[in-house]
Amino acid sequence: MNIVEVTNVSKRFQIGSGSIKHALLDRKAASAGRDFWALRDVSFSLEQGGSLGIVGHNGSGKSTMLKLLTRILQPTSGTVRTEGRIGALIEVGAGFHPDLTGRENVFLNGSILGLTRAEIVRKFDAIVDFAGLEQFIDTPVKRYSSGMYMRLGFAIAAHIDPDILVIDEVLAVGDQQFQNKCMRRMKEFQAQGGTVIFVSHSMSSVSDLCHQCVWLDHGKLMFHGPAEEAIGRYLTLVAEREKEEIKKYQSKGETQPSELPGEDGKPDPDLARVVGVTLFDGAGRPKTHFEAGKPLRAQIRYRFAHALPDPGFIVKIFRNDGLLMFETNNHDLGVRLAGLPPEGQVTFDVPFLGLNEGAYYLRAIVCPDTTVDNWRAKASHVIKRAVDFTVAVDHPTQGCGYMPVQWQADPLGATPVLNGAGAR
Amino acid sequence: MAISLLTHRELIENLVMRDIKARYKQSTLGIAWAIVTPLTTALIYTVVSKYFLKVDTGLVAFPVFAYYGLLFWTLFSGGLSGATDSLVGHLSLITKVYFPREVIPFAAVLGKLTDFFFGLLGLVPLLLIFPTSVSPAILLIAPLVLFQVLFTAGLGMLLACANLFYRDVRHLVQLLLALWLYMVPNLYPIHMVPERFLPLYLLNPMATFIHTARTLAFPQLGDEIYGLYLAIAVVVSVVTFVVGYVVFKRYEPKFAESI
Repeated sequence: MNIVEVTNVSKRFQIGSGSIKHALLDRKAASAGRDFWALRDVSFSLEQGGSLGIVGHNGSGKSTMLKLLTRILQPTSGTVRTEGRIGALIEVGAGFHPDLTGRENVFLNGSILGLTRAEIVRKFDAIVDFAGLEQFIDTPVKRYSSGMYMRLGFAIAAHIDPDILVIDEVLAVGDQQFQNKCMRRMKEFQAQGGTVIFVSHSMSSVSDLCHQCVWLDHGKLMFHGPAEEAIGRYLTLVAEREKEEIKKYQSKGETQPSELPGEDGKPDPDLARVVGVTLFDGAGRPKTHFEAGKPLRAQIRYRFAHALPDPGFIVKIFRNDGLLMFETNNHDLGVRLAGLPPEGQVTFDVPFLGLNEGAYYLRAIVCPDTTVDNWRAKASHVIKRAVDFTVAVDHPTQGCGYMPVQWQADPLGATPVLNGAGAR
Repeated sequence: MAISLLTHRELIENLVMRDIKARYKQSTLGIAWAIVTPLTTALIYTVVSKYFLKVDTGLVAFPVFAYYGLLFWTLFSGGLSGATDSLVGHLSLITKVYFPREVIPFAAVLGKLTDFFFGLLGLVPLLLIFPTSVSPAILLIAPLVLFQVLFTAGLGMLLACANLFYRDVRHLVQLLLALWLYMVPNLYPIHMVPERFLPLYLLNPMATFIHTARTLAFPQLGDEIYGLYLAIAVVVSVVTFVVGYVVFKRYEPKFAESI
């Protein structure tokens, strides 16, 4: 049975100034050509107990879709039908009053989210415990850190016990431990037969939590189906668009905007600078699209003010959602780069690219002296997003990494290692 | 509509309590401000009436006369301006959580009732300073207050909607209230209103409510209760409430996108 049915939904916003003067004097001008379609003819449905991720870039209509599902907005045309109680977490702590204590806000926010007083009393301890705020529950929330504020907000919403739980991007804040706790809570909710609708830019969270995905792009439904497939298609498009962006930069004769390291130590790009990074495939051709398991070579061009006895190059590879996949540097591998000319290049060779399908980028950092303490933090120049690249696999695999695997039938059960492990 | 307000009774209560708590948090006098404020107002009237503004209010001293009327007026004006600003003030909530929006202006109006009750308590010392007898009929103000609140909430829902779409409305409401204050028998007794204007004057529900409430409490003023106009005021209040509610619900789906 479908618990959510979205049928041919469109949503138009009117971009107006909202003053009486305009309404009275400027009626024609106000109504003409100021429409914005946030969603166009979107249909999908979700079964009871299902879990649906909504992905898409900023402005694709994800949040509008959530607001339609939670009745905050009404569709311009089409219908949105949902069954049962909806627990929505569009923004954590919406409706908190800064002057009231955590306790008072739990009751206020709980009743805004549709709980009765008796229900809140019953769940109060569990909420406070989940948020880990026993000590501060009688402190006004304006004195809370943003993390505490967020934890309390999520804890309340997590205890609404709805039929459908709708979550927008809330896991982006909070530390890893709390994020894990929230993911566990949502999985528990799923395991008990709850229905989840989840919006996130973190593809790993989406694929972890959702079986199905809706991909929206400029208000149009691009794909509705298995989560992995939707994410794959979405990331491919993202990578293509980013390539175009980079081309634009390059055609303007500009490099990517470089930024400060954001760590201690004074950056000094004049002393040592990363000029750029180019990627090559195994045949030595410059590329931005690679195959998992094949070689990759990164060439880092640099410029020093004068010869440096012990420079350090750090390379970090991030997945497109910001997850650090891999980091390495010449110093820790015992490679001294003494005697480099003031201008030139170093290469970084990967014989086997162990990344799964997706879009990635590479960060290049140069440090003038690896002999000092904490030399990593004393970078003189960082290019946060030096080069973007995508990775494809020939056979679908799940997870972050890519490894060579071989499956084979073992009819006799005679593999000694497996037997040994099983017997122990 | 009664059902939606009943099922969300707890939410309304919580919103009202939040406003009251938040208003007096971190102030040394705390909730005592609810009494200090009207008493100070009464003191100002005492001084003004003794030295500057000489109004003959007969057997009831001017400070008592004006203070009592002002309780009703403040309940109305405070509720109306509070309700007008209420939707705009809760935009972050309106765009993030769904719940029936009428609880917002309602909580704004009902929140002023606490000030009204504390104001009634403040009347007691005033009655001792200016010895005045009060008729037990003062208890009959309860239904009057009910209809006045319906009237305020009805207008409040209309104006809250209007203010959400056109922010000019809140300024207009302030002007309207400044004018309206002189169209109720608050700072002057009703017999100062010219006879030929009286029927028109009493069509204003607030004038009738305040006049009736005062006549009930202080029969020694010798005023009469205008039954017909009171009935009209009651009908106008109920109609205003129903119209306000219907219009409010009609525009409710557009609230979240009218930022």
